[in-house]
Amino acid sequence: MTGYRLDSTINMGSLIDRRKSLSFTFNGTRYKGYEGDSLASALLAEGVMVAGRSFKYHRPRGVFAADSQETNVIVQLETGAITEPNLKATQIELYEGLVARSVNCWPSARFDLGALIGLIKAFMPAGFYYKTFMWPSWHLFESTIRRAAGLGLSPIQPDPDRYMVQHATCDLLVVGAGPAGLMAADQASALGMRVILADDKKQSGGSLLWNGQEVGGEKGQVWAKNKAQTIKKNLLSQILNRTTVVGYYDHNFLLAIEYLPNATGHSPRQKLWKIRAGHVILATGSFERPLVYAGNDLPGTMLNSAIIHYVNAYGVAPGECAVIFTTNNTGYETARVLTAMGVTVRAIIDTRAAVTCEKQAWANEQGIIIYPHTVIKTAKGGKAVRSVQIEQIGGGKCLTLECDLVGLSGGWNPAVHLFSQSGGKLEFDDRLATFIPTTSAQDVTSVGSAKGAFDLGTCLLQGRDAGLAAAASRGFVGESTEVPEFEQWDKTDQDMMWTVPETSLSSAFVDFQSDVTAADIGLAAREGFVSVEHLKRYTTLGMGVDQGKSSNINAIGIMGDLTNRTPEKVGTTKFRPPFTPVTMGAMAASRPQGELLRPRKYMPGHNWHISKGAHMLDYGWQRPSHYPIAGETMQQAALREAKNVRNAVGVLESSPLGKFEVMGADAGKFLDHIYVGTMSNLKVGSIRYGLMLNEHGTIIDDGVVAKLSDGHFLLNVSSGHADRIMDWLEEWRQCEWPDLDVVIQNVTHCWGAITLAGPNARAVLTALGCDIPLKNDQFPHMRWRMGTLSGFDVRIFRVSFSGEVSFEINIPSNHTVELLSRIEVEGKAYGLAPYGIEALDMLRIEKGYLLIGTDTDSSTIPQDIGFGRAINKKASDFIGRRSLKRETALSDDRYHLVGLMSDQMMQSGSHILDQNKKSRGFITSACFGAGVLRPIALALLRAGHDRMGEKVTLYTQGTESAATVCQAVHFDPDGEKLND
Amino acid sequence: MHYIDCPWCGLRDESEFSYGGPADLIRPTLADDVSDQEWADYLFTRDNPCGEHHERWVHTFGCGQWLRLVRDTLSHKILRVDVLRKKQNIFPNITDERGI
Ligand SMILES: [Zn+2]
Repeated sequence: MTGYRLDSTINMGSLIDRRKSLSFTFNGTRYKGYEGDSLASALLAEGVMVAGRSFKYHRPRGVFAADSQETNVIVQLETGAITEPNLKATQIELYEGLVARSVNCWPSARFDLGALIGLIKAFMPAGFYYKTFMWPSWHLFESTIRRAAGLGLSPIQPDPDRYMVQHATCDLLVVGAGPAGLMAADQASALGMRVILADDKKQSGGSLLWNGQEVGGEKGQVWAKNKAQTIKKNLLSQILNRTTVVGYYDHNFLLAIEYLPNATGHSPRQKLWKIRAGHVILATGSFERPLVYAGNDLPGTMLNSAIIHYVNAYGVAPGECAVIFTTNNTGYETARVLTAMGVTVRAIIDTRAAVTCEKQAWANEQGIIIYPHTVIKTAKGGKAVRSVQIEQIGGGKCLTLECDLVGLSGGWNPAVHLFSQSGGKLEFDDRLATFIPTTSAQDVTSVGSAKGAFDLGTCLLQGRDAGLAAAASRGFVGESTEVPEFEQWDKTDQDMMWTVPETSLSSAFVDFQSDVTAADIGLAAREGFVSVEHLKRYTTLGMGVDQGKSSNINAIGIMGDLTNRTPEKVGTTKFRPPFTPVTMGAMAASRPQGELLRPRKYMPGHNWHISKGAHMLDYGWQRPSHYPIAGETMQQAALREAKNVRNAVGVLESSPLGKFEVMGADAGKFLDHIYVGTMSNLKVGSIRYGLMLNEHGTIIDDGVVAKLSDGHFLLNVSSGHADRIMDWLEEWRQCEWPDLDVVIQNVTHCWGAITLAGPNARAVLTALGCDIPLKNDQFPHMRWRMGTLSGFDVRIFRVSFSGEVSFEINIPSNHTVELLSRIEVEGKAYGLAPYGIEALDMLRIEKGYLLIGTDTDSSTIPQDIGFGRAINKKASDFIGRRSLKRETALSDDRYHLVGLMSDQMMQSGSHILDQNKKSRGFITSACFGAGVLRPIALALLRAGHDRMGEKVTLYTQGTESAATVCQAVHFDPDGEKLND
Repeated sequence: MHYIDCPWCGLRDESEFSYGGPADLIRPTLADDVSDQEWADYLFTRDNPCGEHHERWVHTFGCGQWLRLVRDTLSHKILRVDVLRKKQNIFPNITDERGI
């Protein structure tokens, strides 16, 4: 038979509201439930026994637990863009119109084709896939096998939901709002601590919400509610419900996910909490352990705690006729709860030899038979359990009992996940037959059943005391709160049993979700995978969505028995975050997205360029690539703009160029360390070109340095490298030469920069009204002057990246647009037109001006681009100098920067081949030269400096062409135009 | 995530900082005339101690200052944070050992 909803006169269900009916769809069928139901409780109430299929053998499975421990009913929630895979049905709050589907089922959970695999499972032991599909590579088969095995599907559309992040600090974070957690939070908050209490449930109370225990003379649930109210009243404290703490990191930094119900439209669906806590109290509770026997995975088999949970909290009886199998007292509580609801309890199968008279008397009264020192050896059934075969330990009485519900309790495991993540040590406790937390690595305390205290009294007391201690350690002292009266329910008297003796191991499941049986663990032991980390990977134990919450400790126990080791010696696998699966959306919430992912940088003259018809592209900054007119392509426009620079005058905004001021008595000395060139002997008013290297000798940037006054320099660095170079300079200043009297200031954004280049550039400046003498002998190339231009205070730098006479005007950013407009007006008579980055690129390639990172790579050193002599001349040390003396640096066969000429257009990336068709180099930049009017290129070619005039073969995408090696400077090699 | 007590800014998340490698590297100068091997050691060879590690961090998204941390690589506890000024004067005991 099946589960059903209890009559409201017998049991209302403490968490559900029977006045509010909800409808939902599961695996295509419509069902009804109540507000407050979980998807799992609603399915049980509707009699859905087969609610999922296992991962490997596709065996039918039913609801097994009632919380994050659930291992069987894993569902895909909703469809389309908002679909979310691999959620536990026990953790989904039911809402109107919910649509869910179980994973691993095709075409349906009741009739599943994959179950055929189950029929041949004898041939598919642990490691089967890895062993069978080894040749030639597991990865060849992996995708097909994974699809057949399949867990949920991730959505293929962008996630339309919103997520948010919140940072929080507190004196104390309490994880878990059960009796221990509530006591701790209440105590600490009463003493004035800023407390955050986080709990994954909708309301506070933990086990008190479902186990029916009384505290302080009232229902546990009511006591918890009042306690929570008290904590909330304190303005320094807050309770986060529906919030799962998923990760515990260094220095008491924890991550939590808050689920926000009823998210609509633009309200966020989940909130990612980043919490920095002074102290942490872990009151995370415990998980019940299943028992391992043949057929223990049949639907209708459930943890004893889950049965109590479903009855008390949801008013659901998971079956009509139960057999309770237990190693401890939880089984008796389960029997008591079921009997009170009118569910037949056939028998209590207790592994312990001695049963107290008290229990015996109670059972007699209820008409329940207790079988001491007995186990379930086998469960039988098809799509659900129909009967169990019981047998006395050590042989003897053997019996078959019919039932539709089997309750299991093999003891309790503290939820030590977060404690272990925090770096804390675990120890195996023989009396409790489980791992408990011992030494902490951070400021953290475990309390209650998370520490192995399974009785309510100890939980309450430990919680209170931990709150007191945490407060005292941070200087909060005062009166201790009262520990309430409570109902005792001792769970500690128990047996240790990892597998039922003499059961059929090949269908005795340890990890239900991954279909790992006791036999698989035996195989792993025989094949030598005895380390717990190997066991996990070999059998996939604990690798499912539930991360082994139900299975790990049993597996460790079984492996210990097989290898004659204590569980302590076997040890646990590393507990890693997250505690429960987390959506990518929530994790990404703290990162800027879309347009904010990498904020765009705009130049001061941005709108002016747009008004001139500029096509803007992102070059690290938004910059005009070209200014097309009348249907020009980019190449056509760029060639026109470049020719105009060569023949008349062009204007370019160069504001993004990095501008650093370096000041101080030792500024020159500092720059000598930084640059290959010597800067300390520069004269005021002069400019010098320099290369920056890293310690490997590689060129990382180039640029010019202007001496503004004594002890005051202005550096220009590549716009794309500016931020990185600033960090670089600061690192050396602070770490290597902290004694030098020097400061560095990044003034890039303070100055707009406008470049006038071309034969008419000087005439345009004159027309604008400039008080600086501009003739070549008064203001030659590589000098800078200060003065006024069109009434604005400016610095003008005579530098060139085009090969033309060129003036780079620096003007306070806010005047940039105005000056651009005036230049446009005055320049008209001289044929002035704006030019974009594409034209600039053509101009600089033609002149052999290299772009670091484009025409050089991470192995290019100064010798390779013709700076060998500059180094030999320099007396002092500079960054990277020693690396230039290594054998490889002195080799004749290095990649040298050269020019290439050809009749045809060349492409960057093309290889330069030798006679044996081996690559000897490659093109780094190529274009049509606007001044020389033919295709040109720059290239890195092995021993290129010795190969001038040689004919070479270029190769790109299957085609070959011819070119001639030449100097990198194609245009105006003697600098006559430049120095005009 | 580490919590680093910047001497200038106070306690800040690790995400505001960047790691800069060991703090005790001595850069050979031109005058030292080191061998290729010694230079390669300076460039590439690093200790990987279990326990106390002296290292450089920079408060990138804060004051921009370089700091010197003593951090336990096993427990991740930060035992000390200092302003990185002069290599010689901050850790006299280390200075003695290494003869700097
Ligand atoms: Zn700082």
